Amino acid sequence: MTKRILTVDDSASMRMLLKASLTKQGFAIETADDGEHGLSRMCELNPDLLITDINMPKMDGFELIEAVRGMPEFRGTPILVLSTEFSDDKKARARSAGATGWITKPFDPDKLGAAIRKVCP
Amino acid sequence: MSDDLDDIQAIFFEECNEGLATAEAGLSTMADGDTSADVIAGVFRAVHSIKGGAGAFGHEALQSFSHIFENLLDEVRAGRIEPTAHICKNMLLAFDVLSDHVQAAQGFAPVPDDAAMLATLEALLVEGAGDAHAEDAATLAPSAPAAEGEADEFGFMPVVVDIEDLDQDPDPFMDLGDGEAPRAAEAAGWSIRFAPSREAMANGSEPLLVLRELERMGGEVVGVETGSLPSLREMDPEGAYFAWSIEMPASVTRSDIEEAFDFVAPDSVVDIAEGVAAPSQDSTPAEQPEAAPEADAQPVSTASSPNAPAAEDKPSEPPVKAVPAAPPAEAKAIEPPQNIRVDVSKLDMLLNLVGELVIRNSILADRLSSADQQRVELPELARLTREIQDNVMALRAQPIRQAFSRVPRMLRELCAATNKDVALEMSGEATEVDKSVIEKIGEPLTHMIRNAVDHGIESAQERIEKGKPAQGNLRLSAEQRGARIFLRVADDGRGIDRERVLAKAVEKGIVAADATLSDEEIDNLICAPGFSTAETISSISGRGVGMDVVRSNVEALGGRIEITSVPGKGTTFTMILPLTLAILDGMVVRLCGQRYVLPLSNVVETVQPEPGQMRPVANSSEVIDMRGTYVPVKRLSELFQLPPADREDEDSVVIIVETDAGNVGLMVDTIEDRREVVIKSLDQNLYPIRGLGGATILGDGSIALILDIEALVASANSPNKFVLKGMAA
Repeated sequence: MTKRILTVDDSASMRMLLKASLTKQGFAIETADDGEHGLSRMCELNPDLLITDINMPKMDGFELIEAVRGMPEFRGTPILVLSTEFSDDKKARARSAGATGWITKPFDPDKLGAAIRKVCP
Repeated sequence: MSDDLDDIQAIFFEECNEGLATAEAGLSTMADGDTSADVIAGVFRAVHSIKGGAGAFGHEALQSFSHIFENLLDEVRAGRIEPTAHICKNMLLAFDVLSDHVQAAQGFAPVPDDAAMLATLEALLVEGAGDAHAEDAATLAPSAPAAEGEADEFGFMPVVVDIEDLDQDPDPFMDLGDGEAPRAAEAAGWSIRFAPSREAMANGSEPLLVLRELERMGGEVVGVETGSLPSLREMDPEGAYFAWSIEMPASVTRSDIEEAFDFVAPDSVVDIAEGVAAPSQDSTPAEQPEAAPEADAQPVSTASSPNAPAAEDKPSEPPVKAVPAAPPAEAKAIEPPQNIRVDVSKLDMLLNLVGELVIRNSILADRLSSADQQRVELPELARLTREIQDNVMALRAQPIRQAFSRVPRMLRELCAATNKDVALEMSGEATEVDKSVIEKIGEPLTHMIRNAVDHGIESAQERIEKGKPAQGNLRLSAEQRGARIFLRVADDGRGIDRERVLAKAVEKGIVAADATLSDEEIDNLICAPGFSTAETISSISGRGVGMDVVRSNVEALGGRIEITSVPGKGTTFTMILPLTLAILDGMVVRLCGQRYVLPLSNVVETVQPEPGQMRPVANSSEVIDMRGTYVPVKRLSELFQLPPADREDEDSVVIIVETDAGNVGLMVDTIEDRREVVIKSLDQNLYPIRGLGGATILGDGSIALILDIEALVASANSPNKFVLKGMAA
């Protein structure tokens, strides 16, 4: 079954790049452009995986992850962070907010696909 | 894909430019003393996004520079480095280099030499923070953002015990971006012990997937430890209790194995040992890993054999059945439709077509009988046409911010070059102007600002001596008044030295030695052709282009320049431009058989002179008595050197127009009509004539010249012939 993924990033080019490269690999991609929008799209779509940026206006990635993880229906939904940041304390923050994994931008599309398969049964 | 990627990259560059604008605005705000968290976060996010996209699109120089810049911003954001004036100033300079990098990435400019700036940023990072963390961040190679650094004191760091090499990156919460070199496996293969932590299934993690990944790579589960499994009563259904032993073939590299553990929960134990040895501790013979409690906790089917997931686990062979690769159009279509990017040439074409439509509409109206003209369809058609026209114009309207956006940087460079300190104030950036105007004001604006900094504002020393603040001030403002936009560049410098200007003008033969000029006329001399007061040509404003070129450029736009200056206090240049260069609300007049269009915005009133209302005054000029006020009158036919009108003044019409020089009456033969005309520029082969702003096609298909009232009156009033240059040609 095609896995449905919601990607949240405030950069339009990043959203398009994610969508283009992951669609090629057989994933169905939906996008949102900030944390708030991402949260409402989550509830709407109930995707198999959430991939989110950290630095976004309105609601940042940490807040989004916390909010999503706090909802019973998303307790088991894998969440990957895709960010240019890579500091340990940021990763720890993401982890404690409820992230499943962290991928540093820029991403190699194939590796990203492989990473998705590691968290998305 | 490459077209696809190019499209996305084009959007990335647009984002870069938006990001740069945001960053610059934010940094300027910070430099002005507002270092609130929101401002800093905005700048950080902008630079951060540029870095992210730069990496994705392979612009390494841009990426590495923005990385270091971002590090500094991050420290400032986190409060570890205080945003002092010194820091803010350097960040603005770094911003300039960043802009250059963005230009370079687009192929518009060579890659800038950023070594000095990088060194500055790194020095700031080190001295600002002084702790190991900052130093780390500064010296990290940006192209390989691997998570080095100290051990995680919060205990989130998963434990990867690497027997071979304890220095190995201990971070399984991993970076995919770092292309670390895979280490070749030794011949013996690998044995692994994997003990997920109790919380291994929180956060959507699934240790089972790790085992499947290892199996897909050729590994085999050889043992499972069940010793820590509690009684059913004590068991947390979502806890993980087993540990596995896995053997991997030698063909697999260590980094491949480590990658499989990318997303395992912190505190999980992963031992990777070389050589297939007996796994440690009390392992029991291999049971089905699927029998682990995880299977109960999460509805992963126990029936799934190790082979089953192979198809979807194989990244190199994406399933063929799935959604076909998205064509570029589809990739775009999914974005929320907030903006549509339209090629400007299409807008221009649309505007041109609408212009033609307006003209044809007038022609049609002219040709119909008056009865037909009254029919509802025609007024309705005219109304719709006008609405379309308004809407097309609105499409082309852009905030003047675009033209202003280059100014802060330019000013910084000017200050550096002239060793002056000048603060910039901008207002009215949101004023909307037609795109054609924005495109053309850049150069005059640049020149006026250069002029202000180079000639107007004094050196700090001189300013202090005069009792002024050492820092100069430059105000840039835009304001809409009626159908015109007023753009002001005001400095608080020394003002125009009128004595010197006049002496120079006389010396250059621009004015006669005995001419008596008003202060204003002297000020305006700096716009006279061939005039330049700079004693030595400086690299800033003396580039062979004088204010005369600026003036003629502005006039070519249907605008004019005003200069006001107070000695010792400063100079203000005002560019007054039409909001649009395309449409004009005009009055059609007839003169000597020709028709002309006057911009209605200039017209105050019209009168048919009574006998005796016109009075001659000295120097062969005339005035008209307007309810006791005398208004000078110019005969248009004389100004244009047309044959004298063969009619009495009483049969003519005087149109009172408002100009910078006060109200003036223009005498024409008759008034024909009032209508909106589409401005067509005059052919460049024609000698530029001051006083003519363009031409238009009237309803009957004939051509009428459009008058530029300001220029016309200014040239008529001028006692010096330089402004009349061309009139006789």
